[in-house]
Amino acid sequence: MLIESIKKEAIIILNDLHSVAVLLILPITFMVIMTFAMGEKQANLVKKINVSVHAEKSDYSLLSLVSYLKTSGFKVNQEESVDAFISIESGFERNLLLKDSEAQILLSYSNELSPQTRLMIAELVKVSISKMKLHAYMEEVGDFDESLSMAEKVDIVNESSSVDYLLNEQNQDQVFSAPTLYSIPSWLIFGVFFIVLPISTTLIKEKENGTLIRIQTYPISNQQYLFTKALSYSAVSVIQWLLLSVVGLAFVPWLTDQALLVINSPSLYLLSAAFIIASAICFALLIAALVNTYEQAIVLGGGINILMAALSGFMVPIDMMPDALANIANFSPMYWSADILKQGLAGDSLMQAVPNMIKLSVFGLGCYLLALNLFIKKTNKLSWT
Amino acid sequence: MVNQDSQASQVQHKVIIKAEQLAFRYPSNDFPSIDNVTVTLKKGKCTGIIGPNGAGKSTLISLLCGLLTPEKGQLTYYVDDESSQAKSTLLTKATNSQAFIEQHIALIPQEYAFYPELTVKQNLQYFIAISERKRDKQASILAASLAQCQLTHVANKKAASLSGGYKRRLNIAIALSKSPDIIFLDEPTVGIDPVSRQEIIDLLKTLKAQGKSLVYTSHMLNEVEQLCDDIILLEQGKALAVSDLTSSNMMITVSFLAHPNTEMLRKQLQVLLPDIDTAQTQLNIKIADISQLNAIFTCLAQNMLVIKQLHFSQNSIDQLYFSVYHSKQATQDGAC
Repeated sequence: MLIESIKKEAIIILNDLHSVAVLLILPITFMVIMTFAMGEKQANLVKKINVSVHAEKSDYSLLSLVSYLKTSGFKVNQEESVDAFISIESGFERNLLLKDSEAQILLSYSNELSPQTRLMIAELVKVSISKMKLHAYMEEVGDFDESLSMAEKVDIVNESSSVDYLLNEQNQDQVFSAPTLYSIPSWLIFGVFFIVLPISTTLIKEKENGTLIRIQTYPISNQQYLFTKALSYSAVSVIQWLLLSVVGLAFVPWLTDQALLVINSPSLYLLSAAFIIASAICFALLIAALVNTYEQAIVLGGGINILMAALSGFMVPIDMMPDALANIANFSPMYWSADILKQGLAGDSLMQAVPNMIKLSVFGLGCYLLALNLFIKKTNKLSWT
Repeated sequence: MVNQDSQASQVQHKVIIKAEQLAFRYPSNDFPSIDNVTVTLKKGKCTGIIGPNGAGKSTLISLLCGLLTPEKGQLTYYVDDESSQAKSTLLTKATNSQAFIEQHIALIPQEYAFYPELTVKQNLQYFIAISERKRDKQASILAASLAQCQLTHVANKKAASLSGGYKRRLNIAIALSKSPDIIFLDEPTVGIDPVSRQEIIDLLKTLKAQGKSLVYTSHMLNEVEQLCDDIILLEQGKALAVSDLTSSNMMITVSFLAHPNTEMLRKQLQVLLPDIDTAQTQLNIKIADISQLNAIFTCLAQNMLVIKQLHFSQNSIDQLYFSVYHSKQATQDGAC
């Protein structure tokens, strides 16, 4: 019976283009887009930003600020759409070395810029002003040879202010530095949780076309029926998992020119898959038992999944969220899932994954018991129509 | 609901389900959906349940096949076990109603209660796998179900691509693959052409001849008449009429020349048949059995009645439906 059930559910899903899209195409698309987005380096971002610098008169301070902004990577005063405007007030150069000077530089942005990019521009402009300050100081104490050009002086300041040699950034070559580690597990889990839509629509169809009533006269209890459904969809999810893993671990890094993801702990990776699939199926069964129409299934099932994904840091990384929002992630099954999956990829020990596995088990069991209760109540109310 | 004691019922056609004074009310309703309805389903017979929309047909079927539990009344299932085989007219009360339903009852809803994405064969394989766990038997059940409903040549076609007639057959084949003794059918010929419809009616007649009990609901009264032995006419949850179509639907109208003593004639005939209606020059006689005709004509001859015209008619189910329904309406209007 189980084989026939698995065969039935697999055929139904394969015949439904929407289900295939939701289970495979949607997560793969997100994997590619988000890996591209997260793989963009800051240097590449800065290169795209055009800063317009303006001063009341073309003096030494204007020239030096433009030079330092250029060495930070910005395009300056280019004939194209402007992303940031810098206005230097008169007397700026005179006040540069004073401690309590009033603001002399006005920085404004194009409305199209995100808060993150604005923050980055402000930080780099501050670095440029710091270098200008060092430049002014070196001029004042006579550190520069009078024969040096502006470009040569800028080079000396850049060299003097460089701190790169003081910093040893760790873990650069490890798996955690790869954008793929953040995007691929996240969207793989997102796809697995979207099994909610095929399960819900199948159950609604079965209710609507009388199949569920017909099955009530068969030697199969509602408990057995729901359990068989759970097993059948688990088999479908395992196939989905394998396909998404192959695409996510091999194809997406190749396509996006990112480091390949290696599964450092295959056993933990597989165990994580089992926990994630089981909890996603139980959650899907709960929604399927709860809803009565296709619209409810899409709104409730799809809506909760998208909300969980957002709160779990799939769209905006958790470390970029405010504390209050980041704390909510700790209550999201998708976040627990992503955590144990990353641990499997990074090669952590099983013990490190156990807390989240316990959380997923409790969540899954709770959903399953609720789903069973609701399903039995609803099928007991079924009558010939 | 099912009595534990083993008891037999002695009827000509073995009683397989007996429902006595069933009552049921949906929690959201103020009025009962089924009110004191008594039904007897017999082996090898077809019982039609008719009535206007909302009369309670679906609720009654749901009660009879165990989908709903009655608030009041007694529902008894009888099984054809070894002890009952010994005495051909007796059946034994089932001790476990759920097991009885699973083993003996099949439903054919009005909707196409199968998976359109699957082929005919895959659909049957799935339902057979639920009802019959032994894999070696499954193949033979599949072949038999396909053959019985003439679906063998479309076995590998996707159910969604079948014509309406074939979809109806698949709906029936799935029910038959369970080898049920009682089949509940809800308008199984809706939306199909007359040829396919007749083929389905013929298939159902064959099933009846094989000893299957059918419970048939339809608004197509001519189909009910063709197929059913008994009918139950429901209105607002009440059984307005329960009729045996095989024995009570023949009417003879005798038109005669004026007779000097019509009253005496009527009294003599009433001794033979109580259900007689006499007018000045006409007798309307309802007979249960054709063999009663001889006695009637002997009586007419003894009274020197000069017959002008004789008319035989079958009381159609339509007449029954409308007469009962209209008399009910008239009673209600009078009450108002």
